[in-house]
Amino acid sequence: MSPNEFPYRKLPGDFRGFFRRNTLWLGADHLLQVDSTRFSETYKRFYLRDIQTIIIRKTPRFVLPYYWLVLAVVAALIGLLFKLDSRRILFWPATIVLAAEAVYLYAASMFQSCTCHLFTRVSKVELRSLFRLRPARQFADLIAPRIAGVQGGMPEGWVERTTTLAELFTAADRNPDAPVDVLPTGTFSWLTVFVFVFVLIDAGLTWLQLRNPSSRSFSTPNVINMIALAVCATLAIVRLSRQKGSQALRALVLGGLIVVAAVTYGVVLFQSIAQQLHPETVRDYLSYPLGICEIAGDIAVAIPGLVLAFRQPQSPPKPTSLFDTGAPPA
Amino acid sequence: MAIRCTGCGSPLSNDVLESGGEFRACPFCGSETMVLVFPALFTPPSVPTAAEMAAGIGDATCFYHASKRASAPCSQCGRFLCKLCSVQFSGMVWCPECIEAGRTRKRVVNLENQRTLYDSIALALATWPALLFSPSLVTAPAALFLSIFYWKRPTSIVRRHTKLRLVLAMIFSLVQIGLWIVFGIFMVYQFRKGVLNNVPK
Repeated sequence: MSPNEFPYRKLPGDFRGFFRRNTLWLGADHLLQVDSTRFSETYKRFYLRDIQTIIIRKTPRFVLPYYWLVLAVVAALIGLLFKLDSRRILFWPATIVLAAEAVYLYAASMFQSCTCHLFTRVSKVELRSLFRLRPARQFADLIAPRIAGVQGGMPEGWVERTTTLAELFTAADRNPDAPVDVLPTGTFSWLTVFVFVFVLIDAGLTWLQLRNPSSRSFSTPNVINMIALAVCATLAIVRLSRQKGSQALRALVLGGLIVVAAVTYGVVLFQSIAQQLHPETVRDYLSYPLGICEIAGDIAVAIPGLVLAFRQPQSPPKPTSLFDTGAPPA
Repeated sequence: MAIRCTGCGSPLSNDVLESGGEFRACPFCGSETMVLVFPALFTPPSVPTAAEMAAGIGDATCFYHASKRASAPCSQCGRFLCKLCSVQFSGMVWCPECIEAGRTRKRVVNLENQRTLYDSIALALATWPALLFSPSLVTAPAALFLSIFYWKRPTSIVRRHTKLRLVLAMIFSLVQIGLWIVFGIFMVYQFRKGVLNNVPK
């Protein structure tokens, strides 16, 4: 390598906070993690020959890089400024930008986030720049052949040498009869029921609004209902994703959330376009069909969801003491 | 030896380990996990035995341990080193003293674990305070001083255009200093003009 040649190659993944930035770089024989404040940098080197394991784990996590925050603040300021203006030229575009950003951040945080850990003989380090799945996968695809090239092939029977059966049994509450390769079975939870009840309430409120379009008395209950739905659905999705046999229920919870969010976003989008095109005579062409679709979607999701939620088995009672076996007293 | 889930700490089962770059659920917490395992996990630590290290008659001995057999010379200072003292680093053999010297004097890039970015400080001083106008009276000369004083100081390891920020900081600060000088001359001129106008005839 000539002295003028740049020794590092930027790897996928980049976390840019307000005061910190984390990046990963690939050198000739090592991986360089750069943790920088605005005015100083701290370096950690992981030599390719020393890296034992890289573990990427999907997990819901909310990470807010500064550029999203700046965009949100700018959009909110523009929206507020133009709400005071009589023409409201940029109010609806700013609202749409805010809503789209919120939807993206929600989706990315819930379904596209991960943690990435790198292990050597003496250290376990979280690679903070890899907090989204796509760059983490790109990183893994890029780095794995390099490390394999330095370290060579895997030894014979390496899988058996990593985890012994005894260790697995120890982890399963020291019970050798316990199955070690299954998730905990899904159990009944009121949280899931609440989600579908909120979806049905949304259908009812939409129906009332369609019956009386000039009334604005339903908007506050609608917003409160949507916030409650969002919170409960988020918690329910996280809970259901960690249970066995709950995929269908999880899909229905997600479906309810998507129906409500998509219709709300569609109404906002339509109103903004209509206001841009015909500022004087805004006519509701799509509100009625969208409302009907929302009611149909809500019912289609909520009824099977409630049936499935109530068919989940009840969780066993927790023992009150160490000697309580759960059996009735003699 | 067990590879553990980073979520719950339980050992990961064989099907997760053998997934070959695909996500599989942890058997205990259900988190979808992708594991990349490398041969270094199975390499035992290379600790030399006492017999390997004992110096015989006629053997060259370690500079730091007179009773131990030398295995390699330091590529920097040439001292003979035993297996305990020799450090394989950047494709060369180093003795502990040369590593310490390289780290403290910042001669070896691969040993540095922190850098202060004087060029970023200078550029920030030359730009942000200028938006508030009056602080630039102090910060512009400070940015110019930093740019000149730290001209030879290395900047970020992972940045290509090493002097660009310093040059920009110098240009911005010189412009601000120039403007302050013009403003000062103007104010003095106005002041003198005002004084002359108020002199009673």
